[in-house]
Amino acid sequence: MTAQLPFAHFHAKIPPDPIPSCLHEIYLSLYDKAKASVHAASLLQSNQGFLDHFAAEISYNLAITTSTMAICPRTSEGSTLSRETIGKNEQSCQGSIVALNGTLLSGTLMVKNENDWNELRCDEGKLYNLLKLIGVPPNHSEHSTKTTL
Amino acid sequence: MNKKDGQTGTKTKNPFEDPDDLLLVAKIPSNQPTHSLVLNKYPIIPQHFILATQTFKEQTHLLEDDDLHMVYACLKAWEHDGQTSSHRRLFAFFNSGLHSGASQRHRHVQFLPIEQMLDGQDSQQAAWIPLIDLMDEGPSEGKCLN
Repeated sequence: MTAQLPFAHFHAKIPPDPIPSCLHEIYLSLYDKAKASVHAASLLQSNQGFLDHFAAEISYNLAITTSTMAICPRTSEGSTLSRETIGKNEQSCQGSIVALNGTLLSGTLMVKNENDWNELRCDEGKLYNLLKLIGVPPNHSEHSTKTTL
Repeated sequence: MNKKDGQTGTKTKNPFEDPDDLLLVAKIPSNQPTHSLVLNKYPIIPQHFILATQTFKEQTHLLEDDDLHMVYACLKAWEHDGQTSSHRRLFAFFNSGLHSGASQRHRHVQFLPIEQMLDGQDSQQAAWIPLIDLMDEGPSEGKCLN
């Protein structure tokens, strides 16, 4: 069974031996798409301070290989994994927070302990729910890349 | 890249403003440096390194031409290293903004060797392919088309 990524993401191919302005053009185009998706989903939070001309309006992760540039607008750094009590002698504990950064676009994430590792590995639904929370819903942008897992 | 981290620092110290000698790999481009290549003091995998601007620039500001040019130069140089016969690639990533997982204000891009990410994979499992490689084929953006 295939699934599509539950967060909006955009990518573009990089031509061989690109000039710097080409890379920058690709980057700005992807950034604009990412920003538009945040606006479309009405998820843009008002800035508390003055936003100067060079500042990005959204949080995002950008990834680059020699062939591809990809961007993912972010609305949350992570989420809490709820933890069920296991074993009668163990105290129920607070869920731990799993935070995601740009390694997300390589299809990886990092956890702080083995419990979180096991929890995410054993239950794909938890991972999927986590991914749903950290970005913009993909259906809010017609231009969102449709990556099938 | 096998330098060892031998120093500790305060949490608030900017590691890129005046990079630790033990972590600094090079200042590039060599004729008129604009960026520093630095080993990550807290690597998530071996050879995790960072490209940072020499002068302070905000991580929350948009990347500039020379930032992307240097990123690409690193990606290409890694692939074309004549010392290794096997094909190797880097994955570069940039975290910007409050919700991105960025931990440092000084503008920096991180690099991870894809082969190191594959290392330790259970051979019984289906081979892991970086997500960015799975994104559907499409034309290049804008005027960059030949």
